[in-house]
Amino acid sequence: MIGFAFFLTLRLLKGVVLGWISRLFAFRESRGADLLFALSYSTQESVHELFLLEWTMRLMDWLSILFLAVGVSGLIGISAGYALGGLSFALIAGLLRLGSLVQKNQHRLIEELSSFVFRYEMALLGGRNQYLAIREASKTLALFETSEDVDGYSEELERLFLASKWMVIKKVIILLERGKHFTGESLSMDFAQVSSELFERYRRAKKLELEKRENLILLPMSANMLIMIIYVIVPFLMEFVWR
Amino acid sequence: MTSLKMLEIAGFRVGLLLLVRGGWLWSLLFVFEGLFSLIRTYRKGRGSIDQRVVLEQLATFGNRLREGDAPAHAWEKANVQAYPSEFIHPEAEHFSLEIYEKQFRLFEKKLLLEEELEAEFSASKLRMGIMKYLPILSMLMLEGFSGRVVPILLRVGCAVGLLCNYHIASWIERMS
Repeated sequence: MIGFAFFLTLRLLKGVVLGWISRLFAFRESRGADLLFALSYSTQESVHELFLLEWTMRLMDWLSILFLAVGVSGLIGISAGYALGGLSFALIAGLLRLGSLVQKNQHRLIEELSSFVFRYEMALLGGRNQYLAIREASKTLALFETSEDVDGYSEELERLFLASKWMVIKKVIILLERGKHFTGESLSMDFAQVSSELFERYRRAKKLELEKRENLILLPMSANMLIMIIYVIVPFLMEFVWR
Repeated sequence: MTSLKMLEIAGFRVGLLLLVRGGWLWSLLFVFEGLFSLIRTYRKGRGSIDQRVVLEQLATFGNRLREGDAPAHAWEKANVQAYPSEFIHPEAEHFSLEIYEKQFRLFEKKLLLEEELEAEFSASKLRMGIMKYLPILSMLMLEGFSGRVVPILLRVGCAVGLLCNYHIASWIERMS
């Protein structure tokens, strides 16, 4: 009965909880912006709010399922531990999903920034003016809309820097600023420096990722070891124990 | 890379067939599963473009330009299959050898850095690949040395278990 009561209460209060979260979000200023960016891969406040509301709704749905399961298991005489076990599993899976989402978005940011800097430099070398070169290069970045001038793109990158806190983005902004006053060969050192930093970041991220995969692959390999042991032991058992 | 992957898939299925040997129905199922994996891998690898080949074609194009060929003529002779969109188009009004060479040097540098990274991590990928094969080879070896007859049901069960773990390991490897 308690399970059903909690389930009904949660469903009735769902709208109130979501509204309360939305109001809190509006008053939070810039707290948590970096985490929300890492999770949602966007610098837009509206996207952050949608992301927060989406995951809050998911959590409430899971809690509703838990309370309902507790209520139903109480009715049919099954221990509520199974429902709790199921919820714990779902919670762990959700946390792992969020963790991998953060990592995936970080990798995506490194790759897109590297592509942006490369295409920007290629477009400048190809004779395009700075605005067109940036516009051409920003097609690889899913993070911001088309701007009308170079300053617009600089502002977008500034927002990206505030969200991600990566110094290399600040260097890209400085590169854009210098591009207004210098051309061609004088920027080549700046490009080389930024590209090199992005490459190093990419290398570190890739190395960590591979190490994690190598450790994960030990799980199926452990299962294979078990299969091997069974394969070797069973004929002996059949011959000496079961004859 | 696709041909190596296909060889790996074929090799593993041959190992499974050697392990199961005698269970014709199961062998047939493993063969079908292997064929399905091979076709899927071939289709996935078919559309991909080897950047090294593109670099060579661009280098040939650049050489012809340096020798004095007109851009359109050099383009035709070089037979560039996938001209990168970042490069200045040979038919562009302001196309010049100087611009093309600068872009080519940058593209080459990027490709070499990517290859350097790939080489650095190839050892790790090789380790992961070997780990997938080791169990089946060990089991065949142990069975050969033990001289005992393993029941067909056990052989099939172990082969199915190895195949499932192979797919899980391949999925983990693919994500890297």
